[in-house]
Amino acid sequence: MKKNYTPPSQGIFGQIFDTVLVLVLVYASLMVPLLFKAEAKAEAAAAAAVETVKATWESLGQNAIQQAQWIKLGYDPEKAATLINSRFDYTIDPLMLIITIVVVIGYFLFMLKVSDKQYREVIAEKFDN
Amino acid sequence: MASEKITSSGNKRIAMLKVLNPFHIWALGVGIVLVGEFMGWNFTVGKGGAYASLIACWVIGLLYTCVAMIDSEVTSTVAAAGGQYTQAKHIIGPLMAFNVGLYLVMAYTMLCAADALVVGDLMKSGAEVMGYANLDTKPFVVLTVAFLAWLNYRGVFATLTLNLVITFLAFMSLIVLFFAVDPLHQGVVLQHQALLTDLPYGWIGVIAALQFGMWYYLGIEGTCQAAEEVRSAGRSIPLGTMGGMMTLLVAATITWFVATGLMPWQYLGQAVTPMYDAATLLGSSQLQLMLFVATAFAAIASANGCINDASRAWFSPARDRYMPVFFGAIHPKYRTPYRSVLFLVPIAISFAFTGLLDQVITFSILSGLLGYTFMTFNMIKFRKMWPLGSIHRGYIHPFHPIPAITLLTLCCATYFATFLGYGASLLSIMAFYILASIWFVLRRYKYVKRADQFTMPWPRPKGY
Amino acid sequence: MEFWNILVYVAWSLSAVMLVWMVVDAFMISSQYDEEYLMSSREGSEDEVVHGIHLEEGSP
Repeated sequence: MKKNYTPPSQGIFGQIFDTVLVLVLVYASLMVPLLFKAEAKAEAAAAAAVETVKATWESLGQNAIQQAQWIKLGYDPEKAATLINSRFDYTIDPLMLIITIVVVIGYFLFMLKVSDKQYREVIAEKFDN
Repeated sequence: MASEKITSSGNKRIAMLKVLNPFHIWALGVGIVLVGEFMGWNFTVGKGGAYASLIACWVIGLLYTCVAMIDSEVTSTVAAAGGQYTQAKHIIGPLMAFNVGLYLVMAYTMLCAADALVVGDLMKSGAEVMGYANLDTKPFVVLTVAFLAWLNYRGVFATLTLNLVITFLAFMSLIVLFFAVDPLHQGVVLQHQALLTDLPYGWIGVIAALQFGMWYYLGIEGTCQAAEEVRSAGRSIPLGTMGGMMTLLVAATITWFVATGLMPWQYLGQAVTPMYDAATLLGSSQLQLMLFVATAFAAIASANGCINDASRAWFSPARDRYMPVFFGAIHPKYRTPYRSVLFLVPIAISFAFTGLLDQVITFSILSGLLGYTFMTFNMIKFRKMWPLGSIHRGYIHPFHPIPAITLLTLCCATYFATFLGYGASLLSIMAFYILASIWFVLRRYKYVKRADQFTMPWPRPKGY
Repeated sequence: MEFWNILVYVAWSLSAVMLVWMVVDAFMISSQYDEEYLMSSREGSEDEVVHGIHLEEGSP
C-alpha cells in the first residue's frame, strides 16, 4: 500500500499571492487584444473618410416602409448611411485560422492528458488504500 | 483568543441551507439569461442579417438543449455546489476541473459586470428622458453590485425569491409586447415583408451570428450551482433547467419576431436596447415605461444570478484547495459562501470600469463555450466509466451519444464564429487559460489532497 | 437638477454602507468562530447522496 499524499498547508501570504496572480493574468488577457484593435480602428477610420457621397434613401436601397421606420427611429439618410454602409469583413486569414485551431485543440489535448494522469493518482489513492 | 472561539463541537459540520425549490432553479437559470433578450441578442442581426439571427437562435437553441440534457443527467447524479467543476473533478480529472472552475467564475463575474453597466446606462437614459443629461452612471453600477452582493451574502432564499419575482415580470413584459404588436395581422404594426431582406453576407454571416446567438441562452447551465441549496436536487435541477430552457426558446423567438417586424436590420444590428426601441416605435408611453422597467429588472436579475453562481464556482474549488482555501468558508448564520461573495465585488466592479465591455463580453461568451466543449467528453466518459445501472442516476437523457456529438459540432462552429469576429481576443483568452493551467500544474496542485477530492459514493470507475 | 445630485450621493452612500457592513461582519465572524469550523462544509448534499450502489429502475 502506498502512503497517501499529504499536501503542505499554504500560509496567508501565499494565498494572497496566488489570488493576485490570477487577477493579473485576467486583466492582462483583457488588455492585450486592445493593441490589435487600435490598429484595426485606424484602418477603419481611413476607409470611412473616403466615402463622402451624399446619401439619399434611394441610394441606400431602402423601401418606403423601411424609410418610415428609420424616420420614426429619428434617423435621416445621412445618419442612417453610416449604419447601412458599415460592413463586417469576413475574409479569413488561413495562417491565423490554423494557429487558432492548433491552439484550441492543443489546449484540450494537453488538459485531457494531464488530467488523466492526475485522475489515476486520485483513483488509486481513493480505492486502493 | 482561540479558546473563546466557537469551534466545531464533536462531528458537527457547517453546511449551506437547503431551502430552494424548482421555481428558484428556474429563476436562477432564466434570470441570468433573460437580459440577453432585451439586449445583446440583436448583434446577431448585425453579423448576418435578420434571418441569420433566427437561424442562430434555433441552432444555438439546439446547442443549449444538448447542454441542458447532458447537464441534467450528470447533475442529477453529482449534486454539489460548483456544478460542472465538481463533475469535471469526478469524471475527467483535476486540471480539467480547475479550468472549468475558472470558466465559470470568469463567465459569471464578467457577465455581472456587463449587467451592472446596463443598469447604470438605463439610469442615465431615464434621467435624460426626465430632463437631466450627463447623469454619472458609476454610483449606480456600484450600487447594483453592492446591493446584490449584500443580498447574496445574507442568504440564498431571499436572493433567489427576488430573482423569481423580477424575472417573471420581465418575461411577462415580452409576452405583453408580443400581443401589443397584433401578431396575427401582418402589415398593421409588424412589417416583416418590407423589412426582412436576404442574407446580406450569405451563409458566412449565419456562422458569424452564432457567437452572439449564445446571448439568447448564456447562463442557463448555471442552475446546477444551487445543487447544495435545493431540496431534492436530483429532481429539482433537471426540472428547473428544462423548464427554463423552454421559457427561453419561447422568449427568444418572440423577441426576434417582434423586433425584426419593426426595425430595419441595419439599425437593429447595433441597437443598445432593441426591445425598448420596439416599444418606442409603437408610440405608447405605457409600453415604453414597461419595457424600461423590464429591461432594468432583467439586468438586475442577471447580475444577481451571476453573483450567486460565480461565488459558488469560486467557493467550491477553494474548498478543495484548488484556489486559496480562505475562500472555502461558509457563514455560520446565513450559510452562504460569504468570503467568495465579498471577494468578487471589487472584481466585478473593476471589470465594469475597465471600459472594455466588448472584451469582457467576449471573455464571458468564450468561457461559456469552453465549458460546453468540456461537457461533450465529460458525458462520453461518464457513460463509459459508470455505465447505466452501475450508479443511481436521477435522470437519464435519451439518444446518447447524439446530443454529445451534436454539441461538439456546434461548439466547433461557434469557435469559428468567434474567430471571425474576435480572433485576437480568442487567442489572448486561450493564452490566459493555458498559462493558468501551467501555473496550476506547477504550483497549485501540490496543495490539493488527492483522494479527498473524490466525494461521491460511487464504485471504482471502469478502466481505472 | 438637485434631485439627481442627491440621488447620486444616496447611491454612493448606500453602496458604501452595504460594503462596509459586509466587511465588518466578515471580520466579526472570523474573530468569533474557529476557522476550522467555518471551513468544515463537505461537498455534496448529505441527505441526497445515495449510499452504496443502486440499480436504476427498468435497467437490466
